[in-house]
Amino acid sequence: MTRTLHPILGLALGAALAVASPWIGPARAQDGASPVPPATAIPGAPNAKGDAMPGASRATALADSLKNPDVWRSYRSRFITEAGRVVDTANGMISHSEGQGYGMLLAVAANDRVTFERLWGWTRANLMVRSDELMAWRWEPGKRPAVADLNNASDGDVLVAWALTEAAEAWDEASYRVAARRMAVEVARKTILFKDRNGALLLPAVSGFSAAERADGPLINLSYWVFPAFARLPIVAPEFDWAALTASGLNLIRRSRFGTAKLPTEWISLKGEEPHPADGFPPLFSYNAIRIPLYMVWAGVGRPADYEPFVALWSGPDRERLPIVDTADGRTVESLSESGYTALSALLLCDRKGTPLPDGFGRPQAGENYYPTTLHLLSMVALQMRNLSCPAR
Amino acid sequence: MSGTVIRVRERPASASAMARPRRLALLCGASLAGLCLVAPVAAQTENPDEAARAPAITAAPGSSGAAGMVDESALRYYASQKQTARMNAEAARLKQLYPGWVEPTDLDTLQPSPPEEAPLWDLFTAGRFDDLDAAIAARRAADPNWRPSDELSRKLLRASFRSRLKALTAAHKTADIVALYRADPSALDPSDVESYWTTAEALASEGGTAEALALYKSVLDASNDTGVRLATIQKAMATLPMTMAEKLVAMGRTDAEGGSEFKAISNDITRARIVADLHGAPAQEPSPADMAAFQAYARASGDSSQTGLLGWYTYNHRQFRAALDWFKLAISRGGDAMIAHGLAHTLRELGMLREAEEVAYAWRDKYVGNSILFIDLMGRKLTQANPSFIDLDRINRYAKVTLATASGEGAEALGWYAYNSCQFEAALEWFQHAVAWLPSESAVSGYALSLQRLKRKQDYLTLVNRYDGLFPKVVDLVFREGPAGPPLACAATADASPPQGGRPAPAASVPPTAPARNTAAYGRVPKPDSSGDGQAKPLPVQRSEFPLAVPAENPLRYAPPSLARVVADRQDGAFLPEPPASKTMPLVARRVSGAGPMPYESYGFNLMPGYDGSERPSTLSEPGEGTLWRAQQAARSRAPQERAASETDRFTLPNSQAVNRGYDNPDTAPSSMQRP
Repeated sequence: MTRTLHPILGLALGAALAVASPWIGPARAQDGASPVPPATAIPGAPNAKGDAMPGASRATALADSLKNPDVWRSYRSRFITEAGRVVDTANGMISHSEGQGYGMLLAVAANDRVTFERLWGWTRANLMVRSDELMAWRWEPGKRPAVADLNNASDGDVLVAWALTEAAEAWDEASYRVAARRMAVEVARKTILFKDRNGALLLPAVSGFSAAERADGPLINLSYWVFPAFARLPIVAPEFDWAALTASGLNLIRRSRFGTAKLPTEWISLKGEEPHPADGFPPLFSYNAIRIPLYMVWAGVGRPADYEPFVALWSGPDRERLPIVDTADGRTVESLSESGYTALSALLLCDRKGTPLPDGFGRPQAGENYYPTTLHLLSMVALQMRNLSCPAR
Repeated sequence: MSGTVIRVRERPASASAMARPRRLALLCGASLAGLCLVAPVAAQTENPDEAARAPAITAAPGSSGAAGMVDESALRYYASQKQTARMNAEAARLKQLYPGWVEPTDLDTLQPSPPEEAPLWDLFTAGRFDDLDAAIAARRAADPNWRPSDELSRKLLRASFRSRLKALTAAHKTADIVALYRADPSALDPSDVESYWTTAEALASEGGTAEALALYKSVLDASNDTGVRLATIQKAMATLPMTMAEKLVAMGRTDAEGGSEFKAISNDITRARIVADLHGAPAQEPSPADMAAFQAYARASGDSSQTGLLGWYTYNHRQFRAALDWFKLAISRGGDAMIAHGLAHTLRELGMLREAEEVAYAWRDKYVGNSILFIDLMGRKLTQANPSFIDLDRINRYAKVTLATASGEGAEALGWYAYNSCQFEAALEWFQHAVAWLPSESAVSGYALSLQRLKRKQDYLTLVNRYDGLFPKVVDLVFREGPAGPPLACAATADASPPQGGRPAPAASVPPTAPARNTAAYGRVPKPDSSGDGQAKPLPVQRSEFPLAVPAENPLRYAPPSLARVVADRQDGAFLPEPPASKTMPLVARRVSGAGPMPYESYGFNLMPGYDGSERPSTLSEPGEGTLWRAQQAARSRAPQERAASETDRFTLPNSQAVNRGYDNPDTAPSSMQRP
């Protein structure tokens, strides 16, 4: 039951790395002649569309939204090493940019500056090996070398950039603001297709998912649309139309209702007129996609109808275990047994139907793994930030 | 005309028709594009005395919000009552008041409302729609065959629509507004322009831009009121993509002098086109005359945001001389850090790097982009292969900003400057910071080279082994005899004269004083404050040759000074113990996607399969078609050829000489027409 964070890509045989006088000069001019951020910076221009950021006005700060210090202390002692590495306990004790991002977000929410600095210190020292401002997405202990793949994962980059933005806002720290902007700008200019016919597209990585690189490309993963981040990244990178990502994500969610369950799959191909499950991936609503309603509720975006398939799925008789659904036949192929996952459904049903929270919502189970526990804490943060109130029964 | 209320109906035909539009333009000029909406609010029309109580002609409740269009209520009442003489008199009055107004064609068909409806009309007049609904329901319960008159039904439908619309608008429920409208588009009262605008705005924000455009268009089709027509254009530009708004602009009528009826707001239209252009959205290019008018307005307005807008626009069109002037003017008028950012980028494009550096430095704390620009601008100078002398003060302030912002880019640049000028101790410390903050292949290479120069063999071997499989250039170092790379210029000339070559942009850099160059060929690089040090521990080395088994984790950490107190706050025991490695570290590297081949592969050595099973070396593709990165690369390679052409083609106004005489000659003054 390992969660595939990233599809295994065909080997991309592009041009060899430029090898230009490596020792005498700066080898870091990865963009050719100029290391200066180019003319993307037009933040001063007024926006003709007025309030172009749906939800921006009510976007609230993350800091101090994890109210229970014991919950955070327990999380830290179970998943974060002293060096600042977030350990995916169900996945060979590896680490990834996504986990570092979640850890950093939770550290801001818990107002824990010391741990935040450790997490960010480890992240940059070990994942920022790409010669740009993005992170290698996967890191495995005990391997030579530990970095497994130089490709990035756009959701990890978005999460870390967002966490740095929140940290800069919460603690007025210039180094976090600088790092947040560099990463946000790099995500925007390298992984987002702002003018795609489907609206702004967040490609899952810089390399490997475009129409040119895959027969069924472009490929997307809707759980990479971190809606609450898009409401806050304008703080550090105002020149980019992050609201367009929110709009396109919701639109794609509306159009990606596959099979009788009307659910999106983890990986979706946008080749052709309408979205369809991507080739070579099981057509499942699974570990990735369960985060879609989390991000929607967290940001408070979307129309009531957008939530309906998720509400229907998670309103079923078995509230103790979230189902993994095969969208081809609508059947549940597996159930997620760890209780942390059910925080996602509790949050959604509270937001949509006012369903009272289950007893365990405020007390994550001690024995569970990194991923369900993280989703549980994120759900608690989202509940607090949205100021939702669904008293336990 | 006073205050912000534009009293649409009370203006005389001609005189204030000129005055009002000017006022619209002023209102807009003072604010940013998109926000400068005029909201004409209609005054009550005096009702004909006789009709004051008559339900059919009472102005709709809340008619102060029903702006713009000719109020035909009285006319229609007389028609329905078959009072032909009064009807004709009212028609004549309206014609005199609104020269473009055309008499409706359906007046013959109107029926008087039945006398028994009078109490219902009283409820309607009082705005008690719920009570009216209840009264109608009660009446129908008693008499299933009874129906309210068409006139009452229609008026009730529209009035209740408007009342719900108002409530939803106040609550910002745009999706509900759209649903309300789509449920029955005929409920929108054609005489109620405000509701048209409100509904169109909601539609546009919910993705229904085509429907919104149709609503704006129907207002233009129906209304002859100048204020309403101008405001409709303003609203459309604020809510629709400019390409759609242009369709409405194109509906402008031509006046007696051959000008557009929208010329009063031509600056707002030009601004909207500029803004669309800046956002990469298609829009009509402003005509030279319109652009000249907007420039004149911006110059006169004293508003730095307007001159700044022209700065960004000219910058975007690579007219950097003009951009420089506009940004400078904006700064002189209190422009903010974002304006300064534009100024610094313009100076960079003009090759005035020294000035750009100063501007970026001065504004570094006010906007994060300036801090980054400062680091990158001077970083470029520091990383030249044969570095020129740089003032100690300048290097010191760069080092301070680098440390304060924990910039891996800055640390690496200082490392290379120190290394290339044979200041190896300083180079080592800066590269350590760089590897802690941004361990790119080049930073790790610089660190390894510095360790090599300083003969710190164990640290050197640990580093090279750590990045085996990931950084071919770093691994390549151990396969070389002697120090890698060509000899450093500083090693050959350290005691001789300072290097003469390689100083960029002579006109733009500050000439170093002769004594300074005699005492030191290069600026001395300060070492970073070592107080943040101490976490970098030498690691055990098990063998003296490559490959060695080394810990995979990069242990380097440096906190910026502002966080020194924070990181000193230890929380031992509160963390997950690092899981013990199940076996010893491997000696053979595995394949890493995107890392390319390792140097020793050419000698027949092989790597272990990658995490995904990959066995062959691979490199990562660059960002694909459609990314901004790709567009920037293309623009960069195109730029030199385009500069001259674009500088002369655009912004050349009638009767002016060729505007820009030479991108490469900053001292040449462009035409006064394009400079503020």
